Amino acid sequence: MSSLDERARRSSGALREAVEEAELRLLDAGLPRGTAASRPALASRVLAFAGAFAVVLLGLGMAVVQLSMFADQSVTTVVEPSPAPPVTAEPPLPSSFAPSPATSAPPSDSTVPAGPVQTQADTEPPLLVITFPAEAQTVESEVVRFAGVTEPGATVTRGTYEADVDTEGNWSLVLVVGEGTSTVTFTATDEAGNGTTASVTLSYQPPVDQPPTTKPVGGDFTASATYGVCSETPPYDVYYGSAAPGAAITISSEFGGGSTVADAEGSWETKVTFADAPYGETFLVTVRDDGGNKKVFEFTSLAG
Amino acid sequence: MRPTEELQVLARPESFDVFYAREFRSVVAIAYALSGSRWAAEDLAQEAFLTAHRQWDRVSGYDAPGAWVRRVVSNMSVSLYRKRASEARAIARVAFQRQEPLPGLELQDAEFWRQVRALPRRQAQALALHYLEDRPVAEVAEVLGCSVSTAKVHLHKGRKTLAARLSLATEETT
Repeated sequence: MSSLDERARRSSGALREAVEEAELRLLDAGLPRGTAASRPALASRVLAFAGAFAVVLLGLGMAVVQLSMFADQSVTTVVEPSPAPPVTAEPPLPSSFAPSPATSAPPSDSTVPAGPVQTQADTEPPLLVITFPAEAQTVESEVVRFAGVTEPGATVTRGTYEADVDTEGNWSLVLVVGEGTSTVTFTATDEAGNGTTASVTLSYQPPVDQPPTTKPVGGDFTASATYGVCSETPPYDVYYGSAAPGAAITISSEFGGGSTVADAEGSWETKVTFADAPYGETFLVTVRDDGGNKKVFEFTSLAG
Repeated sequence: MRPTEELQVLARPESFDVFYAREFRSVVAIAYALSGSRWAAEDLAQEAFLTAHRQWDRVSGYDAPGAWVRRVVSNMSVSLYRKRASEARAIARVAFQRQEPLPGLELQDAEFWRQVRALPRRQAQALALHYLEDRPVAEVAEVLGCSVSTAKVHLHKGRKTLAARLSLATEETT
């Protein structure tokens, strides 16, 4: 009888070689599908910049013509371009943008009127809006996904933690807040280094513990996640483990939760769907028993 | 000791392109071992890397981004395999069901991986990582997101079952 490890080594080598041969075709495809599509706003910004640059060049060109026509006149350093359509200085903010009390002051006008062309350093602080949680909101989980809108290209940080910012400036960051009232301040920094801050105050009240005498004593709490990632619609995961017989198990997250009760042998299992989970984002799922034990898992939805 | 230049390179965050080019082949192999379909393996690996790409600012900061993407692809592969297997009677012509083998993979090797896939999911994942990538138990545990002792149990049970089904002897090396 040959050994399992020997067979495994041979079959592993065969598989690696087979993939090696197939890899040429795979790598010829370049980056994963959707890579380019995931950056539409970046492409549009590049195009917008190129368009703006072309308008400026057109203005400069016409000004040179004017200067050559009136060469006998005194030369001025202010170049007057011909009337031209307004040039959008920055891509428009997404339609979801809505100023709130926790908002930095937006610029009064985001367009550049026709007139003298001046090179000006960007000293405007980026916009920063917190859309979730609302001011003075009470949350039921200590794991909170803060979200908002900032200027595309800006970074948003809270201390050493950096938020995920998409190409449209939508940002989110998961933080764990303490019990009671907290004020969380975020800082947005644009590509020119200008910064602005915004704060939100929220309260976290943990669920009231169940009377310990009503539940049987004993049983170690364990919890496991089956998948951690799901491409089905709606996305789901199956959580299972052990606890004291009869213990109530609660699963909670920003995008869905569930509950179950450990059976007479202390085993429990439940399926939880995350119907509203955004594609590709990883968020935290907390599993608790009524004895105060908990375990936190990551989950990523790939439901298209 | 590495040359100074190389250390400086390593000190900088790795670009996604470099990460993708280096890891893609290995991740496809894991996806194939656990899904049994070359087409599904390619899609699963692409999906896993796309997920990493979308969150690259965060993932690149992990100690082991390669372990993260392997965890994603191994979970996706097992999930897909289980789901498709349960739907096999109802869906007659799903591409995944055809179990397209990789060209060049002999029948006995394909059978080995088929038996791996027939194991409980965590055991299959542990064995694929252990055998395909020569990963020690600690690294298998890191990829699977479990303790070393749990990974040892998965490996032990998986090897024992696999040996019995393939009529092979085991050598307890883990």
